[in-house]
Formats: sequence, structure tokens, C-alpha cells
Amino acid sequence: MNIVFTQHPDPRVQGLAQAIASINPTTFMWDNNQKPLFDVLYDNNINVIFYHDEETIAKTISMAQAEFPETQFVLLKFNSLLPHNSSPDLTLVMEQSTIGGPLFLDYFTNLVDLRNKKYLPKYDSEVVVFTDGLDPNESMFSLCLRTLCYNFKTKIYGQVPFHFPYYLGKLDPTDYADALFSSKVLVGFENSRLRDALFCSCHPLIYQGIDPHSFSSLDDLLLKCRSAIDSPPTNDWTLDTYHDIVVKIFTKLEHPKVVEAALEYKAGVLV
Amino acid sequence: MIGVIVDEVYESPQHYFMIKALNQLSKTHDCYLFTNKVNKLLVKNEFAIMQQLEALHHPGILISTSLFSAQVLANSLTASKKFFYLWQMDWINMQGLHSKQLDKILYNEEINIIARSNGHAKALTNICKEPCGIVYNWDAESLEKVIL
Repeated sequence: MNIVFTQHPDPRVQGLAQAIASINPTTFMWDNNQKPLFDVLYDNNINVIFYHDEETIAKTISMAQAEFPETQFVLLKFNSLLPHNSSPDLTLVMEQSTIGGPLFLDYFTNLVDLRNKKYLPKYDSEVVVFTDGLDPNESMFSLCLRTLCYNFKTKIYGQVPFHFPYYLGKLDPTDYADALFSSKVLVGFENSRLRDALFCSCHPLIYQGIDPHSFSSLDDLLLKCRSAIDSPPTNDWTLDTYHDIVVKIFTKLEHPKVVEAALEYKAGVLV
Repeated sequence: MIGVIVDEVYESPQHYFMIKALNQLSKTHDCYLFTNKVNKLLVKNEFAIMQQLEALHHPGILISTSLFSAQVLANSLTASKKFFYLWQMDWINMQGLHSKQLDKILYNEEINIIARSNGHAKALTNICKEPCGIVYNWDAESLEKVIL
């Protein structure tokens, strides 16, 4: 089965392409400067094309759809507001960040980077906190973070500065996965952290908000942290999740061969 | 030979205790203070005061006292032993702090960290590594035990 990805600078597209290429070897990226899309489709008998919602690409795709009705088109949608001229067979929303989304596609974000994670002693901690999405003026957050630091081996990183010795500054994106992998619990305030933590076998506790007038939520946080630290480390189930997503995509696209290949690969890897 | 690096010498409890400690240590050791500026000496010094740059080829024990002076310490090729006496956790007040900035100092294997109190020692153990000792307010005897 021949699969083509249109090029996009977003690492999620690269990650998705590599994830699918691990199951389907005839997957490649289309370079707009080397060959027109029509020639690629004609020469390689393409079955599926993954493209994104850039206007120029969408125009080419809508013409290609008319010319090659047998080919299936999957739209990688980055901006839900952007209009597009084509009518894809399947749309994958790249901004979907919560578990329970239509295709869990956000799990593919930075997949390659996250799978290269390693334990580093300098990031070793029981709890790692990312302050992004946190309101620094909210006194309850300050109390919450200080309590975490006093009770657990905690390291705090993030864009929002926190005047406390355990705040160690902004974290380099290349070290992000290592910091997660070297910690047992992630306390974050953004949903996007959830996926990354799960990839790195780090127990995620994502807080959209802590009631500033209630200490019970703070107690709840401490209890959850303690319970997560004491529980045995989870298996690398994210690999399982990852193959489930590939199966889901190709089941939707009605490509049983690739579904079979994904299932076999998954069984081989996990057994 | 014991060398201490500070950015500036000014009126402060830290420098008062430091000079007293160096005066005491200078009775049995060669002591040097490396600094960029002397604003005021609260106690008469009985040891040499030299330009901070000279610390780069100090051949004995070298002690830095702040994140900035620790940069000099980290780059010294001649020091026999390197210590960072962490008087205060000065990264708290740094604007736009990036975790990489601390790597060269706090996670440097050559640099041993001296804590100022049990609380600091606990925090440092959590953040980076266990301090090699605790010295309260530049106590000369404790300092001698830790560094020698």
C-alpha cells in the first residue's frame, strides 16, 4: 500500500509519517519542489494521501481528487477555522489534545522525540511540575507548589516564573521528555501535558483549576501524588495505544491489509 | 592555599563573617580573596585581596560564593579542589531563568556544594546533589573540616 504525506514543518506530521512508516514501508513524504503531486499519484499508484489544510495544498488536492477517485484523502487539520476546498475521506484534527477525542491523534505529537527519552539524574524527581498555564497571582497555586516541594522530591520548570528555590527555570524542549521520564508524577495545568506524560511512563495529574477557597483540593492533590509515587511503574502501554490509533485510522479508511499488519506488528512487539 | 571568590566586597553580614573566617584561617593557611571591587571592609584583612581574574590560575582550594562567581570557579583549570558555598539560592531572583544556566554549576561533578543550613542542604539534595557539608555563617572550623 502506497501512502504519501505532504510536507509540513509541524513535527506532528513528521511523527505521524514515521509512525505509519514503521508499519507500512511504502510511506513517503512528498517534496513539492521535486515532482508535481499529480505525477507522484500517477507514477506510484498511491492509495492514501495525508495532506494538511494549507490553501495551496488544498487546491491541488481538490483537483487530484477529481483525477484520482480511487485514492483516499486524509486531511490533517491544524486550524479548525480555516476553510478548505477539498472534501476528504477522513479528517484528523491535530489540535485535539484531550483523551477521548475522535482519533486520539494528538498522541502522535513529537512521537519520535518522546520515544528517545532517557533517564537523567539531574531530572530525577518524585514530582515534576510545569508552571505553563498557571496564574502566578493565584495564592492557592503558590501554596500548592510549596506544599508539594515540602512533601516530595519536586522540581519545577516552565514559562511562568515561580519565586522559589525549586523553580529551575524554563526547560529546553530537547530535555522535556527526559525530565518527564526521570519523574514519577507530573503535575501540570495544561491538557497537552497529559499525552506527553503517558508516553514517558509518568503519572499525569492535570489540574484545570484548584479551588482557591478549598484546602480539600490541596489534600486531594497530595494524596494522589503519594498514591502515584507508591504505585508500581506502569508498563509501556503507550506502545499499545499507539498501534491502536494506527489500526483505528486504517479501519476508518477501510484498508484491511494495513489493519492486519498493524495488529501483527503490535502482537509481535508486545508479546 | 585557600582562595575565595566574591563579586564585590560590601557591608553585609555575609562578608563580615567571611573576612573574619579568612583572618582566622590565614594563621595556618595562605588565604586569598578574589574580587572585582572592594566597597568597604568591615574588618581589617590579614590575607591577600586580588583581582577576581587571578582566581583562574589559583593552584589551591577555590571557593565561590554566588552563581556568577561560580562561573569563574567552573572555568578554573588549576584549582586543586572546587567548592561552591551557596549563601543564598540566587537563581530565584534571576529574570528569564533557563534550566541550562544552572547545569554547569549545580550539576558540575568537579564542584562540591557547601550548604549554609540544614534547610538549604535538604533543598539542594532535592534539586541537584547532596552538599559535601554544612557551614553556618562562615564558621572557620566547620569550613576547614569540610574543605581540607
